[in-house]
Amino acid sequence: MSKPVIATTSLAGCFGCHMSILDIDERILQLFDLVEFNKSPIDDIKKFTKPVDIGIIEGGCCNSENVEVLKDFRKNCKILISLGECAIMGGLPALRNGIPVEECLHEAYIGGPTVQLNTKHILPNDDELPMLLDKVYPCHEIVKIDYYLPGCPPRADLIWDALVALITGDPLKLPYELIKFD
Amino acid sequence: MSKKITIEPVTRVEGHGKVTIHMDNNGNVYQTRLHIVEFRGFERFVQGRPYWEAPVLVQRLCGICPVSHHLAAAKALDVIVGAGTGEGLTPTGEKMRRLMHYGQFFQSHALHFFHLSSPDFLLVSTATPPSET
Ligand code: SF4
Repeated sequence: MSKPVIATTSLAGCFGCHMSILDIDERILQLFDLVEFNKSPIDDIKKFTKPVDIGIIEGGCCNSENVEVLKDFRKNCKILISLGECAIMGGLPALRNGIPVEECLHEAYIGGPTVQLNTKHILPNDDELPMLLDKVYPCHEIVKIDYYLPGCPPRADLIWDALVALITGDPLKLPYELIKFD
Repeated sequence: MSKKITIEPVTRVEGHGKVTIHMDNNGNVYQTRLHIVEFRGFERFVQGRPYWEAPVLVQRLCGICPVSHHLAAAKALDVIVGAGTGEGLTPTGEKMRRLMHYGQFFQSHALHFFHLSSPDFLLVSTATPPSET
């Protein structure tokens, strides 16, 4: 049997969830025995080169590019996992959802106390930049998500156990210590 | 024909970046640009939160160097609570922060070497060819 293929991406996240994947430490070698990585910042493959079994999404959607990447993942992956609070419910970036997006941009680029050089009061407007969305959206509001792994970031053990369970088909064990957040 | 090469996403860094390389008709590069494609609005949405939340909130700026952001917010809080710019810290507090900072430094370098760079050097065959990276 060929190895299951995994892809990962970071949308409007902080890469903390990816760091938590790496926090499985030496088990990463075992992981490389169990699965094959396709598009992912971990191996720097930038485009899907084959159908993928498990897609792991970090971060919600705060701009048009996030939405495109997420849809591309849904198209190419059999199973999609929302990894971490940002993917599951927008996470910390969703704190801007109660604030007009213009106010956020103004604070960052024009009005904020540390802005000094932007005398012409220019907001980022380059054609290469993706369009900012009015709000930060959780992944399941854009595409169907199959599994959710909570935490900010989810613990490495949870990620490991979930992946092994998915790959082997065994039921996922969720001891209390793994899912309490206080 | 002028040509544009786009490298996206830029990996091996935290943050979401894109590089575009612009070439003229003769294939000479006349401009290379780095685009920071992500905007989250921390500058605005941390305002109005309880002040003691700040160090924990700003950790989420970057999952690779959260401690640096935590310590920067702690310094800002020092000023707010009247502890000045360092002189009001207890010696233990100062040492704690130094230790955290060095710990972050160490962890960050180990991470970069073992997880980010060395696989590229050692397992080149499975990584993207250098021409695309
Ligand atoms: S869930 Fe937490 S650790 Fe993961 S990307 Fe969001 S802020 Fe970072």
